[in-house]
Amino acid sequence: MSDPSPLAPGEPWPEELRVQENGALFKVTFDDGVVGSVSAERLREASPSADKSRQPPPPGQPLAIVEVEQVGNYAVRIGFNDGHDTGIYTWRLLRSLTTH
Amino acid sequence: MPTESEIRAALARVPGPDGRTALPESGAIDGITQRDGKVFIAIRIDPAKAKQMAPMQAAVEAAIKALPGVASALVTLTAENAPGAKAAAPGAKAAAPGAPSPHAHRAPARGRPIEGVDKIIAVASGKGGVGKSTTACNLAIGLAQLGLKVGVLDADVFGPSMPRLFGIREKPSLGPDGQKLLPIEKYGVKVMSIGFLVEDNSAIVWRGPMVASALNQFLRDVDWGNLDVLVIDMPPGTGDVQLTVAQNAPLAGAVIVSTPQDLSLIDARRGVAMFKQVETPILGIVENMSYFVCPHCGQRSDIFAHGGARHEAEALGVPFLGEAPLHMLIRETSDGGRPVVASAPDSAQAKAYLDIAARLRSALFETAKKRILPRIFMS
Repeated sequence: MSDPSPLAPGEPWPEELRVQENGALFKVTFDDGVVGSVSAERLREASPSADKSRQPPPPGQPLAIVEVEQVGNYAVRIGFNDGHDTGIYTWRLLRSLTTH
Repeated sequence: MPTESEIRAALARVPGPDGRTALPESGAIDGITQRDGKVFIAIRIDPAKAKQMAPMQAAVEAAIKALPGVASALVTLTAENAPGAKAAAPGAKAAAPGAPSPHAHRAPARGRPIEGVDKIIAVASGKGGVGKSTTACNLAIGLAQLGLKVGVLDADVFGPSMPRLFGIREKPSLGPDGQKLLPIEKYGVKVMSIGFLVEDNSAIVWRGPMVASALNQFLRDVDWGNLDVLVIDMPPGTGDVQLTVAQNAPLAGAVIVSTPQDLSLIDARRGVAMFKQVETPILGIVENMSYFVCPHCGQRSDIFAHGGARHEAEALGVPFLGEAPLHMLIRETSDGGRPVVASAPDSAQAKAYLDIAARLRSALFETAKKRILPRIFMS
């Protein structure tokens, strides 16, 4: 976890996570009305996983998000088509990635 | 000897683990090796469905044996956690249609709700020896006496106490479907513990991932039926196992048990911090061994300095749920498998737990607007 402190009561909480454009774009709707998105590429770069190994995506295909899985109450694990699927993205990290 | 593609072609008519997709397309073939006319093939399956896979295993064996130049075929079914395996699991997990690796199942999706179970709470402590399990047991029975349907999952895999506390000696049996273990019901509570399955004095020496997998099975492969509350008795501390539970079970909240002295409160604070980090609400702190009433003279002694947990709760801004005394009756009934709330419900000691249970119930069902997890869509 990038910033281990818990979310303060007023901090934004995600209501909806949406993978779009064949996995190239990740869109998050927060409960304060903010909607932000981040490219698969940037999301992959920002993976907080200790395993940073990187393989090229399948030939002829751009980097894409292939799975999103709930982790506890606080994060999602996101899998990419380059085989990387160990990054756990907290709500706060998603907020910072989608709005900055 | 056949080539690998000839073997794969021969398997095209065998349905894979899902019973529909042809095996070579299912992604479940983990490896094919050949030596001296013997073919070895590994197929990755969901361990929970191992029994149903026998016909597939036989069909694969027959299909390979029919190939010219094959003397024998050995088909092994492996529980899948091969690197890169992707799941097509239901629930909170979403996978894009046409994703490049439609592999077979792997461990069930984390954090998804458990069918029939409304609220899951963890009873935890920063350190051992503070009476966490005794508290969890009496709270569970207390919640049941308040009219809730309650289960207890003993997740303290290294020191399971629920069999002793509930006085349960029998072993759980498989349900009618042959898939799920039936919890054992006592004092109005459904109980499951690793302690039912191992001997009292045998040690469980497990690495973290084994604990994680056992916990997942206890959460999802036990026939809990319909429960209002599932109480998880956590192992003491703030480490790998505790984090695993927080990641795998959708926790509605956590109760922290502490004795009132500073040494214990420091660790209780760590427990609170850990649950906050994983966005699990703290339902409150319970002060155990709060004070001691001498059975001979009736005088009260504040052995561990009474009131410490209440102050700590105030300082941390979390609710204080109540206190339970250090009392012979609680110790004796706990060791004897007759928890005080069940065996002496009118005693002052049982009343202490019932008060805590009542506050816990309102913390769980009445107050605290629950934060809803985001919906996930893959387009």
